[in-house]
Amino acid sequence: MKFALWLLLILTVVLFRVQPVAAALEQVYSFNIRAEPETIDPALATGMPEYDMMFALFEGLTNRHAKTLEPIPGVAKRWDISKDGRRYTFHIRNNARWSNGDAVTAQDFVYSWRRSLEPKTGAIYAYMLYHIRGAKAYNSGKIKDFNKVGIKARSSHILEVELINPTPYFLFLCSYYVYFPVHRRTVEKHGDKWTRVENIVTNGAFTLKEWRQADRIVMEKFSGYWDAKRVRLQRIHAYPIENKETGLNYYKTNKIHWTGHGHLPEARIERLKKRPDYHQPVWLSTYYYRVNVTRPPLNNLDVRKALYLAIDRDLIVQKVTKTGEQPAFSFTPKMRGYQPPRGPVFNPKKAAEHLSKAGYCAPGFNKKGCKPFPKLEVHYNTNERHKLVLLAIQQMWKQHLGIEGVSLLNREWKVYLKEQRAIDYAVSRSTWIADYPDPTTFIEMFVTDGGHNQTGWSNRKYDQLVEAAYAEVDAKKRQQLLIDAETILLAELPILPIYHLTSPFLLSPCVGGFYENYLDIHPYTDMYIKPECLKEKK
Amino acid sequence: MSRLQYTLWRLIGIVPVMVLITTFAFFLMRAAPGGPFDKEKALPPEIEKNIRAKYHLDDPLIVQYGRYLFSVMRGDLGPSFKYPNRTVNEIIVESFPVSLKLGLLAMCFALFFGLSAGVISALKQNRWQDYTFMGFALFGVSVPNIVLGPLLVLIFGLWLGWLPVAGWESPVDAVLPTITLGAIYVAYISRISRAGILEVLGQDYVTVARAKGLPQRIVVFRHILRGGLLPVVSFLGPAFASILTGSIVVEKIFHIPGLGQHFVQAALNRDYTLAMGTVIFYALILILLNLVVDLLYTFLDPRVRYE
Repeated sequence: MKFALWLLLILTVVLFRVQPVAAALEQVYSFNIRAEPETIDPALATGMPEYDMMFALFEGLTNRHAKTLEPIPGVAKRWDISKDGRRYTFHIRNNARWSNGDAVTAQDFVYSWRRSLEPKTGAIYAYMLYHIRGAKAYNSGKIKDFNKVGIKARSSHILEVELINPTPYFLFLCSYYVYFPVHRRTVEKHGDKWTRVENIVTNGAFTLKEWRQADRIVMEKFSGYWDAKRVRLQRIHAYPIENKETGLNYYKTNKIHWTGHGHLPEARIERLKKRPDYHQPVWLSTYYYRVNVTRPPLNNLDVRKALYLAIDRDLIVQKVTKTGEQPAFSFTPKMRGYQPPRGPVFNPKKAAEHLSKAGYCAPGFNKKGCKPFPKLEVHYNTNERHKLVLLAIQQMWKQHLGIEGVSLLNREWKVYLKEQRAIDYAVSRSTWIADYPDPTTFIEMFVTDGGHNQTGWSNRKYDQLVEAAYAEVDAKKRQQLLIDAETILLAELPILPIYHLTSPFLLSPCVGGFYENYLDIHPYTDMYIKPECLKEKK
Repeated sequence: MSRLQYTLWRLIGIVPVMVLITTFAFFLMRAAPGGPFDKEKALPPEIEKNIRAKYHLDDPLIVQYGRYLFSVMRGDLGPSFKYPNRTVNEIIVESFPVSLKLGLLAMCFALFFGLSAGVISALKQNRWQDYTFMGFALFGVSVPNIVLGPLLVLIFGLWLGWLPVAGWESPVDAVLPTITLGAIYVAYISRISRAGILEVLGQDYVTVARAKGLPQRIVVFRHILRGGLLPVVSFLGPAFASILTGSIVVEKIFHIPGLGQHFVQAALNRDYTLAMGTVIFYALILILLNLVVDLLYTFLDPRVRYE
């Protein structure tokens, strides 16, 4: 027994010889990337963690302003846009370099975009390139000759791109991952393995130094980056911590500076909100319910209006979600250059009136011969917050419309997606986060047979307005066309907007050059660790 | 049947079992609704077509099955759907050693404390030592690791600041996950060993050993433990397998890059190849561990015969 006790003592001494978490030295920014990036191949990547990593490693023709997200020069030092807004000529800077020292050329972009459009690449976000003339036809194999696609290298420093429509956000798209260049020789030499640490060649402000699967990613400043003088961070550490509690613990023990947006344990937010390092910027997004307009009784507009008007959005954001969300009275959030039309606000009396008009019994309108409202199922994917919001709405519909039979159907993620796609639901919870800061990212979803429509709703006038907006060069006229389209959407209600989301996070006061913005994108080229923090930790 | 023949026979038996498991894994995975590339943002049909062609998902199911089975036979578990730049083999090779290390640490921890507690409790049956240890054992069995882990992190990581809250970089990072993962097995092992030893204590050969005047230490280590620990040995195989496959919660809480997380996550993601790959791999581990335990059993208990 003595032996066991000695062993235990030795073990304790050895194991407990502990040093609390190593503090950051010098300009090292650490953050929770929230999930293991699936791939950093610009043609194949899709999610936010991937973008957070690739934004350090790659640079597109344009970059994003840290505060406003407006496109600023990236690999292209300047660009010319034709009067009809359809032809872009990019002038690539002479000193843009790949991490192996090669110059970044216009041909690199032609190669990379072509690769993303090759059907055999199987690029998920290839459709983001569909704005380019001939891109969709090439991607779907309808044309084989890439010369027919509107991407041309006029010289090694001049890239010409021809678009189908004037696309005011095209410059923004140029900093999107599928628009990033890849290094041709590296890709051709290593095939699928070109993104490995030992093979990868990148052109961003940072290079990949270490990637321990599901553990840690280390990126280091690239001294050959054309704007290296401006870059202050020496290294970036990204931890793919999925568990929100664990992420918070990392933050509390100073192992990371940023918890990642929307990645705080829900149950703790109430307390965390009181901290000075807590932030909750509004995200360019909408939380809404899809309504299957092909299924009775939801095919009746009065029923949809009743359901819409009986939702007290203010109450939901104040008492249920509680993280600064904004009640949504339109599908598209307000953004620069777009003031969405405002749908009616919460009005229980009017809601009941509409329900009664549809022939159903409603509080205060119980006409003779009215029918009780049939059972209504609402689908949501497994998530505590979705459930709470739904419980609140269930109560509101019961209280204001007398609908007793609202049931909650909890679905596993992939099952939920499948049912939504097949429009096999009555009402289904959804979220939409903007791909780019333009109202079309929201409004084009509901065109007839659009892949994201998934409500069975169709309106010719709406389709025509969206089509006209695509072709319109004048910004004001374009805005009006989109407002008119959205007005139709809000009048017909194939969707019930509920609120615009926020992305709560904790950010260490040691980090400078980090700005809240509506897409939660934070260029590393602007970030730095404040000098006072460096001194403290040395 | 000799030991060698028996081992060979058992090894041959693995092949049909593995084929069966691969078949089940394949068809069950495909029966699940949704696919690996379904995301909140639906894909345009052109893109979906390209992707299905790239991953051969547009072939008839039976052709896909045949191709998969053939590739598994050659030891190739295919490329991951979710991590397109990695193969399933690579993911397993990279993450399994982490789970194995954590599993071994937890097992050693469980054996050391479980056996000590079990032996002491048995020898001091119905005395305060027995009650104390068995009380702890009851606590260990009842508290799931999803509660124990965060509790330990709160006390030792956040309040006292003695240990890292998570991570897998230095040896101290392993302390809390080891305890969290091993605690329940300390409890099981202590109870099983206590029961085993109590049964042996009354046996004639123990009485004879004592009558010979052997000191207590010798009687315990040479005579009592050998017989009394047999139930523990048969428990170890499945327990170790369950430690390896059941480490997902601990891996999540402590941000450990092991295979456990892929086991569940891949199925949820419909990452067909990775989900099937982990199932096949774990099944193989389970079968081999059972074989090892069966062989070990015959060493410890000569009454057990090969048949």
